[in-house]
Amino acid sequence: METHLAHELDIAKTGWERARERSVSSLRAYVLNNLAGELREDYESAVLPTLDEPPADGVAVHKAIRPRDAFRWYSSLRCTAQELVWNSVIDSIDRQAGFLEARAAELTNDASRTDGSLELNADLELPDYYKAVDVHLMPGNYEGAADDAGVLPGAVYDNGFNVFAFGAMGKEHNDIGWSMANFTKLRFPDLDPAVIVDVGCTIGHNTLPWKAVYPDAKVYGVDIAAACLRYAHARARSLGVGAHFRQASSDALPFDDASVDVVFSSMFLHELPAKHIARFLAQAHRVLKPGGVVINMELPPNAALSPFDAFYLDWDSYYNNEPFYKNFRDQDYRGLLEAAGFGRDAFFESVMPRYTYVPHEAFAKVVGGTAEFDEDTGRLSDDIQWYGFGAERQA
Amino acid sequence: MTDSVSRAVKGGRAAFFEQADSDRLLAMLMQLVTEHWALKERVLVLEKTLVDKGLLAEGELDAFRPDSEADAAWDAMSFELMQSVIEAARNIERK
Repeated sequence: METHLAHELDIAKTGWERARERSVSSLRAYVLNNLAGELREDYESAVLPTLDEPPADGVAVHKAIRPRDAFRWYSSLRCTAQELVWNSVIDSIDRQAGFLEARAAELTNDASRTDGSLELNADLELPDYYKAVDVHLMPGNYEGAADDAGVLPGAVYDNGFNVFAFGAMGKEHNDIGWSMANFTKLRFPDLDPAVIVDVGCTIGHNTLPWKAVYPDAKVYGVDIAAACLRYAHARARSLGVGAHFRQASSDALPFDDASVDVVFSSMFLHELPAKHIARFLAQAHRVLKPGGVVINMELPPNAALSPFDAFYLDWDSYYNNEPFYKNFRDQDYRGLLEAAGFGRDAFFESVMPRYTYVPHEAFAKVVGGTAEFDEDTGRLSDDIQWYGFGAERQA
Repeated sequence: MTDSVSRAVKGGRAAFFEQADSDRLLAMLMQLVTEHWALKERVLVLEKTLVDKGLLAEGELDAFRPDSEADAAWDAMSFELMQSVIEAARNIERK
């Protein structure tokens, strides 16, 4: 596996550290491909036949499957693997904290690299829900545990993601950005965006592909975590992509009414409590120009999945410090957009292959079709398919 | 392993967790960590000996990058190791 990042915030790792990352990635791949398969098989062959009636939903599957050894093995090892993801990279980052901060400062100050920018807002209060847990067991969350964590939480996220994804989420883990940007271009061929905003962008890994797909657009990344934004800005500079990072809440996007062409988010809504999802989508509606598009890459809604698949994805909500994940997935996504002001008919959704893993033609084929949900939709494995949904802002 | 020195403890030792299996697994894990360190130290000795003898440059192993063929093969081997360790335990069933 490639343990190096293709930009200048890459850190030197010892042979021991690289070997450790490989091992953790293998554990992740084994748990999410093989043990996940055995979990389904155990459910279908040994649990389902013993039930008086088929489970109505994922909650019922969870209840029935909890005492099973297959569930215990899968769950315990998945938690262990998740902890090891972060543990496997933290030592090397900690050892090179000085190098990382200096390199990031150098890139940040070197305006000759790109016309990109970074604006932080020291007055922004981080919401209580965000401060309450370290999401997906990531020590220090997106902001870091220290008062001023510099860029280090961004480095933990970037390096950890590499191990986490076991090669399934694209080079530089940016396939979601490539997929959603290309989907948008194919689905809305007349859209010629001048302004694109990625909300909840973390380190900007899925922000930058938008600039490649729409070179003439001004591309923004917005997040509440300053540490990730500092890293995102330096990373973008190093990669030679002019993107603009802003520290702001999705409750109050720092853009004028009707000034944005595309509002994009990825793996973001499921980390928000319901009222903040509603506020974000209302903000998206406010800032979009007529004809503009909001597109969210997310986990698919529970209603579209079998009870087992619903349970399988909701596992994270119960055991991976994702407290709002299930509640989000229980919602009617079309209804959420409608409540935010988007027209009911303006809704779209799609299940698509990973753009950087398939020929362009194969990807293009799915764009016009109806979303076909299956067990690979949103389930991280070597066969994952992305789910995206959104709406066009009507006049 | 010879039997000239006893390894068993008369009277046994206490278990502290709700299930004694947890204490047993913990004991095995610590034994494994000890063995793991022994192996690690041996590799360090090997590396230092090679450097001292001029057969390897300082830091050469850390700078080593496998070619893509070796990299893919090691990914597969590492995956197989995980698989074999986990599957060894998963064969056990209550009868």
